[in-house]
Amino acid sequence: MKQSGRILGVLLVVVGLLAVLGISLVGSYNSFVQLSQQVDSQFANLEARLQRRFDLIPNLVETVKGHMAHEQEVFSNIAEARARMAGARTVDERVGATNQLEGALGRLLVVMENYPQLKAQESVSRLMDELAGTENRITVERDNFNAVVQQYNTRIKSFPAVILANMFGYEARDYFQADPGAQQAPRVTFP
Amino acid sequence: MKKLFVALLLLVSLASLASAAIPSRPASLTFVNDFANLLSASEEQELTAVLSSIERATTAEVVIVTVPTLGELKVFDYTQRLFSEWGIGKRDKNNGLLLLVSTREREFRFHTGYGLEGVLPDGRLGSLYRAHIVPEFGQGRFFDGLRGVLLANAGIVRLLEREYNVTIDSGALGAARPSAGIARYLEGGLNLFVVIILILILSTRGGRGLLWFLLGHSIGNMNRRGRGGGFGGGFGGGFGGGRSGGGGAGGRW
Repeated sequence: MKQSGRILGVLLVVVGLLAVLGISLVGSYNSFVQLSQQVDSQFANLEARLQRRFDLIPNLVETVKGHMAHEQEVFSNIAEARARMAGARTVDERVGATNQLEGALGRLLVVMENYPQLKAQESVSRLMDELAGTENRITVERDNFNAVVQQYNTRIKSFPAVILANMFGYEARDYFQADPGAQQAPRVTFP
Repeated sequence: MKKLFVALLLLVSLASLASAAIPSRPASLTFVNDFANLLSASEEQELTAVLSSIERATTAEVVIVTVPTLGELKVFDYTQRLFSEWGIGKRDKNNGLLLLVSTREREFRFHTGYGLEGVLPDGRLGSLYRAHIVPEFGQGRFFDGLRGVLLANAGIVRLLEREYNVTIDSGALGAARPSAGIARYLEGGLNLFVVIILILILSTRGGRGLLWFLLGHSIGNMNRRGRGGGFGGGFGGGFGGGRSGGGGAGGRW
């Protein structure tokens, strides 16, 4: 009688442990799914912001081009960066093209400083506001994206979740890093 | 128990250290926060009346904050942090707008929540800034500049009226009690409830082991919620908990 009671006790403990293990495994797996979805949706937010800049630039170029006939090199740089952006397929290509575009745009803004009559135009000022706003939004979404990626990567690399992550093929994701050289470009300081 | 207390204390002091430069979030929804003392009492009242009418008619939270200095921060980083720490705008609509004035740097900035980006495009806000803030602030007339951007022909009140198809009573001086959503109170109560339960569990010897187990288990959950500010954030009273994607415009005067 005593014997069977003990067996029952051990059995209960084992079943209990298995249940806890199972619950935590399911929880881990679900957290991978959730986080990876968040990474994707945050990347979509970032893409939307990048697209907005992409769409704004031709407006700016059209508005100022007529006044800046001698600055053809700046405009061809922007056109080239835009073409590269349009052709980019992978995240890496996209990051590269984005940074090139930021650099080219930065040069345009610097050159524009030499044309005070441009700054006096309200339409140009508005475009500059929109552009500056876009740069700020890209920064925010990029930070948000990297934060989610960090969460995801930490989650799938930490023990014991890493075993499960490997089993189901959850791999670390890339951060969206700004080119340090292009960092000064988005600082638009028009009055 | 003692260890937990120390940990909590450390956490609180760390949190306050990180946001030393940003004024802490008011307990109630105050529309005009004149930390730099640029407005007289009656001016403050008049602006509050307009802003609370906006909130009543559209639920949009338009908030004025004046500070003596931005500290070490750039104006964009300052407004982005203040916006998210205060949670300006309703949580489900993100319809907040922050007007920040910093006197030492002579910086002014509009900062829009996600939900108002379409109604108040950066270019529009920039135009308002150039038309009203630059000339009026330059003469030291802070109230006139702020009233201008709100009440001008293409000002914020008109833009919001057109978008939401309402009339905003912009002349009404008087009591400015914003509508308090039931959900907001409920949420505040719920957080309190959770805290009480936690304390009760902690006070039992056996409960502590369970608590650590649960904590370890749920840390992943808490992290995942991230920007929502769900745990303890709560936004019990006051601002709605809206978020910003960094939109806006402004500059020096």
